[in-house]
Amino acid sequence: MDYKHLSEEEIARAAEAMLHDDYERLPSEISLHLKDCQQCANEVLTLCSILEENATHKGIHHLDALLLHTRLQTVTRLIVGIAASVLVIIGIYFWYDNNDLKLNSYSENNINQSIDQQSDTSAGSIPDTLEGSFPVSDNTSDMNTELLAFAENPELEKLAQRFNQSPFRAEGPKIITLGTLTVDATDKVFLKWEGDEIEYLIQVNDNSGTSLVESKSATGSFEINLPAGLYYWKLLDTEYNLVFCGKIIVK
Amino acid sequence: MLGLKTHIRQDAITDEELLTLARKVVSSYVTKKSIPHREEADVTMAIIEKFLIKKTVILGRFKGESKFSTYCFAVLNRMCCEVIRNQQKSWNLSEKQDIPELADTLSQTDLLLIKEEIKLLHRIFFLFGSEKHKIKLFFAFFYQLQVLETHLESYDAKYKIHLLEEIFLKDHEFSKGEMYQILAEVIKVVENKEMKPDAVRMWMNKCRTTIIERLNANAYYCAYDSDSFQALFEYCLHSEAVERELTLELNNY
Repeated sequence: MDYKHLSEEEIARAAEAMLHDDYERLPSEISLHLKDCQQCANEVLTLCSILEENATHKGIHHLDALLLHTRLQTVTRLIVGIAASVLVIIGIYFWYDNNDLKLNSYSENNINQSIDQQSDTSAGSIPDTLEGSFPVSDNTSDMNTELLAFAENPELEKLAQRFNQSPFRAEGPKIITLGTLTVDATDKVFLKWEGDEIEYLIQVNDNSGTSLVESKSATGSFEINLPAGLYYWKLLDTEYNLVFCGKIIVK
Repeated sequence: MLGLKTHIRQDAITDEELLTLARKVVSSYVTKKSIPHREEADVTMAIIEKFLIKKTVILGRFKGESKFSTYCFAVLNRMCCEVIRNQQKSWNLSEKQDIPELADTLSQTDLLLIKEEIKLLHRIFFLFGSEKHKIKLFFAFFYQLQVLETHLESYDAKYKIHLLEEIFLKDHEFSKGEMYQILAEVIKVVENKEMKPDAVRMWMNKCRTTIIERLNANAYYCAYDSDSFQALFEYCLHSEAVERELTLELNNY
């Protein structure tokens, strides 16, 4: 088995430790090897004397300065890279947060525009009575809640537009009520269609898509009181086929 | 540093820088008379050539655990040692001189020469690691030289309790056999090891041989044997005693 001597770098380490009075902190595998190995011990001793002779020689020190410079460059690049990544992450976070706010304020602006069209007396006033099995929320004092009450529901909006713009629907009665019905909060909402003595199901949803009322009618009409807000109503036949979808804006 | 692998470019050391380093390594061996002066240029070129052939591997092996310049010196030094081992038999090397005897009137040259050799001896002792204090103390006792209390304290912090002052700090005229017996007793008390006097003798002979080999391989001026080692060791202890006195005087002042 070949006897393994110390590597050149281990020899270098030992020589530096000896010159700097740091020999006791050398790894034990190096110091134990040097105790017994004449070849390595002689190399360390020679290296010590060479280093001592050349301690002030500039031709050598610049090699170490170059290495130190290379290391500093690497560390600097690492720090800059980490800092740049952190900044990018913060930037993305603020962009996302800002866009989220913009979406919210866009919705609020739309609501504000529809509220501007309201009469002064009805703005913010909410009627108390409602017909049908409609769970009325009395908690309407929050301005934000009022604004959100007029926010359009994208899916129901598309559905309503389809029925308003094209006559694409199952065979059914002619709808008398306007596609977008606008009423004052003090008035009742009348929904009318042709087709007496035929039973239809009427569904009224708020703008979040939550069903508020489900009722049957065979009279070709349906009445309901609704507080200020945006609503969507659906007319379905007895087999639950959608016959019509319309909008109700209660100001 | 930060656990980063140090990447050394191929142009980290130029050919001129390599020549400078190689010259310094070879000249130290010429001074030590391990390489004849007439062979200096050839050996320098030989190690430069070896370095350049293996440059990529050499630079790739550097881990950054020492200075780069020291590492280059160590590589060139090892290559130089290889050349010396291969060529030594064909070289006619001049003899080194004997170490001057300890005297009150030594020339400046002799003093400088001895100072360098003492430095070398200190470093050789360091290579023994934790045993260095024991070796110094035992050889001082064996050669009947002045032992300092610091030597005693470094070997055994409880030397007063173990009454080692009685053995090492007083003059004696023991025979060699008696000395080995006493040292075996000391080892038993201090290190709690059973060691026969003959084992102590063999251990000390082995240490002395190692020290002399290392002196001869690295000394610039003198060739060493048992007697010249004893002389150098005496110088070493003498300079330590002088240094200690100076330190005490400065502290008192």
